[in-house]
Amino acid sequence: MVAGRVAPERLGLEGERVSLIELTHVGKVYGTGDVAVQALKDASLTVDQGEYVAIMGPSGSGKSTLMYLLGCLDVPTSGRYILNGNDVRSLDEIELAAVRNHEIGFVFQQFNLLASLEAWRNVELPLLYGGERRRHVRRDQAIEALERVGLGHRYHHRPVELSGGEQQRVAIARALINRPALILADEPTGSLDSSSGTEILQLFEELNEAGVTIVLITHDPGVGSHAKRLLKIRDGRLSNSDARPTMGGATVAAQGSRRGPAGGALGASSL
Amino acid sequence: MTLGDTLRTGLSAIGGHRLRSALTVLGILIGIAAVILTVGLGQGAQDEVNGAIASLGTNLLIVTPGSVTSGGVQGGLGSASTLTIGDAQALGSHLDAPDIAAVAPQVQKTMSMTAGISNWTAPVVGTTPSWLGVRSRTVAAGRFLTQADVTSEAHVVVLGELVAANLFSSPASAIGAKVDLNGVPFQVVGVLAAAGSSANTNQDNLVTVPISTAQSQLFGGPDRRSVQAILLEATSPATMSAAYQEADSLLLQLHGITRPALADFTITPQTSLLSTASSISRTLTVLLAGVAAISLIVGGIGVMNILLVSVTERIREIGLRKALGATPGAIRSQFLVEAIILGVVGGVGGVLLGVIGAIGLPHLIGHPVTLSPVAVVAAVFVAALVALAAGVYPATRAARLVPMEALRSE
Ligand SMILES: Nc1ncnc2c1ncn2[C@@H]1O[C@H](COP(=O)(O)OP(=O)(O)OP(=O)(O)O)[C@@H](O)[C@H]1O
Ligand SMILES: [Mg+2]
Repeated sequence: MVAGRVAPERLGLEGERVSLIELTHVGKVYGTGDVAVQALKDASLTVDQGEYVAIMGPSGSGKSTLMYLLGCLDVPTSGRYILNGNDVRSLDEIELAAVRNHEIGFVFQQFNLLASLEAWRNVELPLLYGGERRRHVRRDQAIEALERVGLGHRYHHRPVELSGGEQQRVAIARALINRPALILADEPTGSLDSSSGTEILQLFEELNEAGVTIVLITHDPGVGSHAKRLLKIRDGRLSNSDARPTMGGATVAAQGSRRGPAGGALGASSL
Repeated sequence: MTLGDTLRTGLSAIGGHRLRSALTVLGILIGIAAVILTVGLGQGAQDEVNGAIASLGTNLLIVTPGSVTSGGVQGGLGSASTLTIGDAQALGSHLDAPDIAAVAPQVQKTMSMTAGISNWTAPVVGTTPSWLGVRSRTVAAGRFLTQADVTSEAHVVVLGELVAANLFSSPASAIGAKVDLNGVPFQVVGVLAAAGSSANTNQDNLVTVPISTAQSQLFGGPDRRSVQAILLEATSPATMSAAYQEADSLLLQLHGITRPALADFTITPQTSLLSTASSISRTLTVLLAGVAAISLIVGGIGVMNILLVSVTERIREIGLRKALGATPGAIRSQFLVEAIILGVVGGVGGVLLGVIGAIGLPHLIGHPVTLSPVAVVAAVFVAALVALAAGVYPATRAARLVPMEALRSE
């Protein structure tokens, strides 16, 4: 599996899209029998490399369910999920761990930093599980990633010594460190005040400019509006009224085109 | 992940709940210390018995009156006095019993004794000069009994080291002094060198007098020729069974007994008494070590408990680590390493406590404790193993968690 951020010039210059996520008729049922909950119904979705997609919906609509599936933290009950060319169903536990490690960076609402570890040691975790054995290399890269989110000087601080916004930036540095193809963020601003939230969203936009594919999950329209493409989810159903920013290139981020006409991006048919 | 990384992760997890970890370690620690101490105590007792065997000589036979019949033991030591001075003299014949090197008849009674204002109570052994050699004893000061003392029924006494120490300021000052045994005056002619204790008898707490004097002046009784035991020394350990045969047939003949089953005496090799004592102490050691091992298992259950709590408590952390790319194997080894750290810390602490106990305990209870390096190393190893075994189930549970469920849990 090839890990790494996709260079912007790979996208769009020849007018060619490279799809990163291909979700086809995916369903997810929690539990069985009487207590079964159909949390996701017949979801189809294609996300190309370099895109910035927001998935928006009210509480209980299945947003997190979708994120767990996209992040290979859970397996679909039905349908097919192809991530970066790999059919997720064919992967075993160890291969899935490798996919999560190399291809995906997670950003959670609750930051999910380990309280006992300093910032840089939180950030180095994906490198550790990725098999980088040299501690100084991990440390250097972790500090570099922290510098990227503007926290290079706080590398030795523990999470309790950082503000919420700073903690989330540490989490983003952790998500970035293995140069994943995809950043999955579930309500990344949900626990932050509006100014820290704006900072985080700005950071996402910068990252996307630099070519990182981002899928952001939120219930807040103000947050969703930052993405270049907006998908809605309700009662486990992804609406197909999504919008693609432009037809020509994913990196073009005209504010007005964010809510443009339906681009037919759902399903593999758009490829 | 390198071993160092795994260790660091384990240590920081343990550091996250110090008190709980300390209590868990304490469980293992007490178990290990208990094992080390009980094994050490048992080993100490066994060493003592083995030392006694060596000091008593391996070629000693003891003839006692009475016999073992199918109904059990007939008579106790010296209760039915069927042995006489005559028997002892006959056994001493090199012609009839060539494999018996020396013979010492013995009568014994515990008496009070006084020297000046000091008094003491100890067994008084009436015997002959050969007793010294047969019991492998030596004299520290003065001399032992002589044949002349026996013949003349001399009022002379040789003190055991403990008796001398309790009645006199020094062994040398005892020589020539007067000691009253049950009011009968005796003169101290010698003091025995210390021999320690064996099989629950202190070999230094006794005095010896000529057997003739004991019978006529001290013990009284109707039969002045009967003895309570005859000690025989074989010429070498190899001739023990020959000496046994000779003593057996000679005594049967002297007592006019035709069927060996009706023998009115019993011959016991000293070693068999001691090996019984030794095997009893060995059994005791195993028993105690078993109890200690149970406490170690309880310690192991403590480790399992803390790890299960830890897994439940850190379920979100496990989910997060999996989201960041931790394989089930990495999660499993994280928890196993935690278990092993607890086990090794407990093991090392237990060894320290055990060693301190082994040094201090003998002063408290008066029993020696022998520490074996093998047991110490094995204890740490076992502690780590117990903790590892206790860690397998919680670690496997953590490794099997579905990341989505782990992350959703609160
Ligand atoms: N483990 C589970 N077992 C059973 N039902 C579940 C489970 N997890 C989620 N659900 C149900 O699935 C539906 C979708 O849940 P999900 O967490 O995806 O919603 P969400 O859109 O993320 O909501 P929120 O905005 O509150 O986080 C809900 O009705 C929820 O109750
Ligand atoms: Mg949610």
